[in-house]
Amino acid sequence: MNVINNAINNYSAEFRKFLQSLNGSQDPAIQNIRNDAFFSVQENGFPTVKDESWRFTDLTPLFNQPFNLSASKGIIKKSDIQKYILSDVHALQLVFIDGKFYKEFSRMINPGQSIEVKNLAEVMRREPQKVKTRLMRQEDSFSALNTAFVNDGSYIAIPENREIRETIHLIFLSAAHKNPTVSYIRNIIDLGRNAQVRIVESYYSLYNQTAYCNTLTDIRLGENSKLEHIKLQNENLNGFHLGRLFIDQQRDSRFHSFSLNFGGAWVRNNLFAKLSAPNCKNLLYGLYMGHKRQHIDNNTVIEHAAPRCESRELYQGILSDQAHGVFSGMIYVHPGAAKTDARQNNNCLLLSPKARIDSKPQLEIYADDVKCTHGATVGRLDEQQIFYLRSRGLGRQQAKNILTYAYAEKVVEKINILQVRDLIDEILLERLQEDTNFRK
Amino acid sequence: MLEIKDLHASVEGKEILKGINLKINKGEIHAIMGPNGSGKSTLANVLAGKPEYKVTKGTVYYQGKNLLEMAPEERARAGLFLAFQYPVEIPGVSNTYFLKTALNEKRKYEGLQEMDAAEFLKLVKEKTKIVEMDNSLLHRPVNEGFSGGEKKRNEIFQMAVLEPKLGVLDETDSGLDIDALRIVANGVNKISNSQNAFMVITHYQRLLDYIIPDFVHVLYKGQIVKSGDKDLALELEEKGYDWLK
Repeated sequence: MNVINNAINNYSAEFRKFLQSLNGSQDPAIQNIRNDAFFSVQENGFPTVKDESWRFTDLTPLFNQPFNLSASKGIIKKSDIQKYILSDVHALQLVFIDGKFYKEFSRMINPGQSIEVKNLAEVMRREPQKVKTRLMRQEDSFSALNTAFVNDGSYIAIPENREIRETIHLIFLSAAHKNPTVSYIRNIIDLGRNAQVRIVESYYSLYNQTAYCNTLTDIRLGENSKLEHIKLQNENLNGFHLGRLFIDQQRDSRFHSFSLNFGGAWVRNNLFAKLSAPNCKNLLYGLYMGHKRQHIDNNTVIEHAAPRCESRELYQGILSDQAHGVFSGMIYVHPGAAKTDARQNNNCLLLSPKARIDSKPQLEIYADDVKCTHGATVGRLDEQQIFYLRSRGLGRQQAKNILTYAYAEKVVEKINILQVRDLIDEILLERLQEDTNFRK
Repeated sequence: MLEIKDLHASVEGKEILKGINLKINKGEIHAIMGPNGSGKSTLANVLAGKPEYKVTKGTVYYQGKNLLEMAPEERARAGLFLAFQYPVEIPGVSNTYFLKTALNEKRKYEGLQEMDAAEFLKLVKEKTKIVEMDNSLLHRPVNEGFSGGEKKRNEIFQMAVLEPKLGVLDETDSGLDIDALRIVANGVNKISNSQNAFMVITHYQRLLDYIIPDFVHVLYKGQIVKSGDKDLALELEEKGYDWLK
């Protein structure tokens, strides 16, 4: 309890400092939303491992470390961030460092268009009415904290009938500071009727310092809209990452999502998808690769709230050394969501005897005439396959690495953005090389 | 090429091979026949170095080297090739990538330069003709979703690319219809020359109508109980195995 009380005290002090730094420059309505959210954090406190959804992820490491908002804008050169940029020259890109927008590194859309790809701080300043109601997120204390400290992030609005061919790339970097820093990131994504776009969020650390990223992405998909959304997290192995992804889908919309986690010491992702109207399609893919002492927890909730929606979920993990993975996946079928078709799979490959996965699928079904299945496998590499490869002249480690790579590819090959697929391949190979000296 | 002396081997604590003696010279084709459970596949797997097969006694020399001390991959790089009775499916790994890696491992071992993609593609195109294999199978994951016949063809195709010195065919004919059998056998005949050797393990004589062996050995209860030339196979076909017991 002490840990949580201390945490709340620390957050209170930070919140006061944060308000002072804003210096009353903000829209009063937004200020109220912040205050209200912080009040709910104080009221509700934080979960512990006794709470079912936090059974396998201890918050103590996060609370024991004091994190501060970074006071200064660091000096960053363009060359420092070059390697995090997609090789796609047409991509639009918004770069954030320690949660603050860096216009000089960004590639924006020409102004005056109906499509909006902006940083959130600017929208909050100039057109607060656009985002006010969207900011009020306080489903849980971490979302509420994200709201209390909301200051920047992205605002993407694609109007009706518009298809954006360029990939929108949001890059979130943490820089080096004397003390561990925290950044709060809020992304608001709206697709109008029949709109289509592909959005990549990527999270990296520029250096080796400890940082904490609390990020919340709030997506609304209008009728018959299509979004491919990729969240790539490859922060350093000292990093803390807490991600929230909320999706609301309207009739006939299609959401194709990838959650790819390679970095971080302590990672918790929550995804809440609500299929609010009939005929939605929701595809969730996840890949997590942990080594050393990484802790990576993915928690997903898919709510089928309307008839005839389809959801497919495939999360694959690869854990070595003493890494610990957690997967909880809930499929909730509301009364009246007839003809729901939901499938969930979580597979995990354990490459060392000390690696561990806790996997918890859950189905709650309150409708008739539905198809829901879930499956989970935990395993090691197949010795028959290893022998087959060795019998053709491949070394044992090489055989294992090829099989590991192939395991990850089951998810990676579903990504439609070529440059992202290449990037993930690169990360995978780098990791295999680091762990085992492997060269594909 | 290969000299097996008094070879005993067990799997899961059960002795299967009970004193095999066999010598294979280059240019020769040896057929190993025998009833189910006689140890034919065990012999093949021991030669390839499958970990769960334990050699308890005896020696195997391959090109003057102690084969039993070599890891499976070293055996392969040194030119020993096992065509599996049940080829393994490897989802996510393309046939060409797999085979290129295998070939280059072998070339490295031989002190040759690694083959680049263009050269490799040319080689592969040539070799697919040997087993009349559909090019589309090259880009598919190894054996995944292949029919039984396609898997066996793929084994012989791999053999054609890797050009082994000693090819061990473990019941390659099982599950093949007569056309596929002919294609597979022709493939082996095209690869066979005076510098390499083959051990053809089969339950039935019909494969030996196409691959003519120089020697036929009958394996029974873990020992070679009779050896002869190709006529022995015909005799076995006619009389069965009972008269040897």
